[in-house]
Amino acid sequence: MSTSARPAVAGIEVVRARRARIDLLPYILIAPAVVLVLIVTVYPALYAVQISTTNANMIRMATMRFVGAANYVNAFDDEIFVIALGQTVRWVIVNASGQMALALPVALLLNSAFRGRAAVRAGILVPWVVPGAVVAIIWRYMVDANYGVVNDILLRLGAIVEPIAWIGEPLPSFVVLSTATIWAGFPFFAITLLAALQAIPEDLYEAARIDGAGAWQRFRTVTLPLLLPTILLLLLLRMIWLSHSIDLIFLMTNGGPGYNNYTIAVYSFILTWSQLELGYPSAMVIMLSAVLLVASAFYIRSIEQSREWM
Amino acid sequence: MQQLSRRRLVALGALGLAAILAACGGGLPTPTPKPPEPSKPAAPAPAPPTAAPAAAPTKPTAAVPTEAPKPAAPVTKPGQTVVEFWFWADDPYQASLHTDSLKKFQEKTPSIAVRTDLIVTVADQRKKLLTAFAANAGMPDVTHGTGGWLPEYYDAKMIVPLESRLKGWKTFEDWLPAIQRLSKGGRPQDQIGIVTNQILVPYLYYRADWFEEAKLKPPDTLDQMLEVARALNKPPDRYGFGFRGGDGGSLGQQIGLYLKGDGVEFVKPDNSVDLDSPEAIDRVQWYVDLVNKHKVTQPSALTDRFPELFAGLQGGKLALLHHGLWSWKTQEAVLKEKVSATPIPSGKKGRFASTGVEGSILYATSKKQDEGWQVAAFLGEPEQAKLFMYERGSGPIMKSLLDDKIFKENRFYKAALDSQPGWGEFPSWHPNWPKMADRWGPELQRLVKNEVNAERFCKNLADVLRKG
Amino acid sequence: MTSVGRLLGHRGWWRWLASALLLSFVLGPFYWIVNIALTPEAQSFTQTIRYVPTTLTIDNFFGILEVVRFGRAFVNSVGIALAVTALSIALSITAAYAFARYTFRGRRLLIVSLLLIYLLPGILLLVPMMVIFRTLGILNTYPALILAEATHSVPFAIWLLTNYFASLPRELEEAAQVDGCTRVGAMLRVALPLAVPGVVAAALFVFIASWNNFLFAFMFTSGDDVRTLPVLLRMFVMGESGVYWGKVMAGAVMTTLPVAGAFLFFQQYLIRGLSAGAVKG
Repeated sequence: MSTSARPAVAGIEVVRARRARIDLLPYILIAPAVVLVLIVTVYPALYAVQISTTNANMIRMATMRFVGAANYVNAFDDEIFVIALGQTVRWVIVNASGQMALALPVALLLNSAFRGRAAVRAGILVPWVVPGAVVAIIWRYMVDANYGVVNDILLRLGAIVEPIAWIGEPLPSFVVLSTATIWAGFPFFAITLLAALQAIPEDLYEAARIDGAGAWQRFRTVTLPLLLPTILLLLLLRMIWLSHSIDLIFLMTNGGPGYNNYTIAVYSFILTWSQLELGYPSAMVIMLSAVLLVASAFYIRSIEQSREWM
Repeated sequence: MQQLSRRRLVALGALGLAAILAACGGGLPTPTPKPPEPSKPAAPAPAPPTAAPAAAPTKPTAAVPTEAPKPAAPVTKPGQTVVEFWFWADDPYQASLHTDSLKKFQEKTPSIAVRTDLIVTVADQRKKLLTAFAANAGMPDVTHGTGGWLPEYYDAKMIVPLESRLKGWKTFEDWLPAIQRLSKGGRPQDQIGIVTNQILVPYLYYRADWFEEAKLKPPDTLDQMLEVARALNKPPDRYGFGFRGGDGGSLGQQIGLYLKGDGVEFVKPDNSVDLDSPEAIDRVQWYVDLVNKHKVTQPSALTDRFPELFAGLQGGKLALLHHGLWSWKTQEAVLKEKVSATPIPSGKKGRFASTGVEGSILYATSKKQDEGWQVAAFLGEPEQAKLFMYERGSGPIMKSLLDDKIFKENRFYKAALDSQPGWGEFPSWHPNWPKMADRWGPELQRLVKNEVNAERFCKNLADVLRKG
Repeated sequence: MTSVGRLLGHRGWWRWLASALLLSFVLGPFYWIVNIALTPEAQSFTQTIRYVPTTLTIDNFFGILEVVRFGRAFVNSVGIALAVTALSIALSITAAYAFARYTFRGRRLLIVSLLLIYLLPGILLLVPMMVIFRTLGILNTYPALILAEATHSVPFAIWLLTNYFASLPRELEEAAQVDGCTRVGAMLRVALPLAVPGVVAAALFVFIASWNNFLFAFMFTSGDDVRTLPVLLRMFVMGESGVYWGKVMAGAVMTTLPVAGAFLFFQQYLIRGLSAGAVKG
């Protein structure tokens, strides 16, 4: 058996030229997870790619035929697809930035010690653990045109003169959906940022203070640079997640009114669910995934680069 | 490096153990509902206090089952064949009509156990069925269904034609000719595919007390309906017309009926589509004018579905509401004499009331065809059909029930029957109909919001019908 | 004190104000559903909004158990979430340890691939998954849902645990091996107990993700027997049945309490588990 000079070091077997040995243990350890993921995720994904080149429909599986790239090309002739495209961008940008904009100050707040901080920290976790179905129910009811409390408050404050049918209007419904999503999503950001903040050593702040840096400067030179990689990575994850998210939109408005809250993901899901289409929705989602893949690659590269000159 | 404190570990273990026990135990014992007093049945319907000053019973008292209606899985014994039965219901009371009947069936036929599953909406059930069929797994043996589905299911080879079984069935002889025709599902060349036990007739509810106050007569034509709606429109307390903007229901319940009343056939016998004809566009414009020009509709019109509209009618906000015989008990229970019904107002060419048959459908994938048939037949016999007739507001199916006094004495049944010349169906047998129906909802919302005009609306949907 | 804290002075009053506003935004809606859940149902249909219930009742909580098979759905949710958690964590621990401690060919590729899985949305995989489950004969049963959800959680759990394991010093495991422990033994007896906060954090994430899952549960199950809570709740909001707001809110409360409770109970582990990962980036 080839060994290194320190036999106690686990896992790394020095390979001698004569006898090359592959350590099997790591592979055994990761095998179950990888196998599961392969069967249940990778294979379906490949199947989805294949089916996106057909005109398959769930109830007419026997008559499906290969159509090549037709689904991809014709998508851009589809009025609804084009609408959904723009709205996907709007959805992702507004919600990702909204969640971050709320999470950062909250994390900073929680980073300072004050009485009751633990309660606040526990409290902000509540939206995060609430199931999507419940979030949808809560907000749907609160903005109900007839019985909703939001309208009641606004009326009492004199901000509006008659109840707004939030769910039934294009822009108000987007506002409600975004508010609900931000409400449910920022806690995860806040807590992760808090953890990162707390990992910043105090001496860095001390050093900056000694150098005469004011509060804002300390934030800019110490906090922000150390936090930025985390922020950027979280933003990426969240934007990907938002591109895929359908729960709240589907549960609160079915994508409506009209098509005003359709995103690519929502459109694809509704097509699959209600029309039982398979080919076209798969094509849409694959396009979305491809764009996300490319965007992520660029994004990660720019994070790496920004790390270098920090 | 924190160690899990012992206390926490114990708590965690206890929690995990409890949860695992609960999961394996086969069911949490649900707290037994206290037996309801006669004046307060266990399953309430939405009853805003503004409607009924006193604590009114919110459910029909006559034939109310005294235990809480709950779609339950009966306990199956070994040696029994289990038939899986799916259905939908508008509320738990209607659900109980099915489950109670099936319980009776089990008592009568102990060798067959029926496992029921309540899926809340018609549309959801259809999708679940199609999904299960496509995946070839989880198909039920029998479901409650509507005649409108039959063409689609026949094409997908999902269901079993029933003529051979029906011929040997006593009740079949009793069926009205109209029922025999409608039970084919709309394509004359198909066989009968549904064991009908209900026929649903739509009509128009109106607040009789408001009409009397204002000395108005219930509208006979659509133009009169508009006049009446305007006369009774007193925002923000009262609105003249309950507009169904939510989830595409307007097709089958409101504007679709008006279009047919104007002579628009959607799909003509020669397969051409007339949904974008000038008459259709005119009527669609008229319909959307109710919201935008005459403003006789409620503010939440765009997203309201029947739960909201019912609440509006019962809560004293709406003067007119389209629905049908199958909800008469619910409305009457809350509003009593204040609510009445009139046939669907007629358009330029006549009156159209889309009458759908509902009943039991048998599936080709089932391995228990005979048992499934027994279940379907039981639900279709006069005794059960009568239950649906009285309790759910089904119209007449059988000759032997034609003389039943309820048809003569009840104003709701009268309104339904008065529209009989106009009974008919939409061409839902057309292969692109489901797709068009699914697009109807969002397109209508865009129309109301002026994102498209009436002409574009009609053209978009006509194109879906034409090209799919 | 943080830099921002300095910015606004030593007095902490603004923190209290900010906290109050934050908490009312965050907890306000939850207060509202509890309010409605405790209000007699008929009242929630009036035009007058009651900010504090004038009459308290717990009827809605019983009501929802009668109207639909809420109890069964609850049990389903619990059972499935626990199974998903157990499966995911078991698979993830071993894999994460391998990624953290060993270098081997394909390591980097595998890590990246596992995370790339998240670029694939669940909606894309829906029908193919159904085909697979049908071939295995398990559609519309617990195992189908458990497999789907577990697979979805595994990459994230691996990522979190890998970071956590990597942050533990190797010396203890090496010492154990010097004492004659096998590598696997060292993993199980030395590394794992030290990684408990990370494991708890990962388990919590997975449990909550499964409990809250709507998409897979909606598409892969039909029938009361297997239905989970989120799917059940949707029936109320989108169904044609009467809008039973009182009962719906009671159901919502009962759906949220378990996960909220578990979360609050374990939150310190969560932060610790996350912080190991976040710093590594």
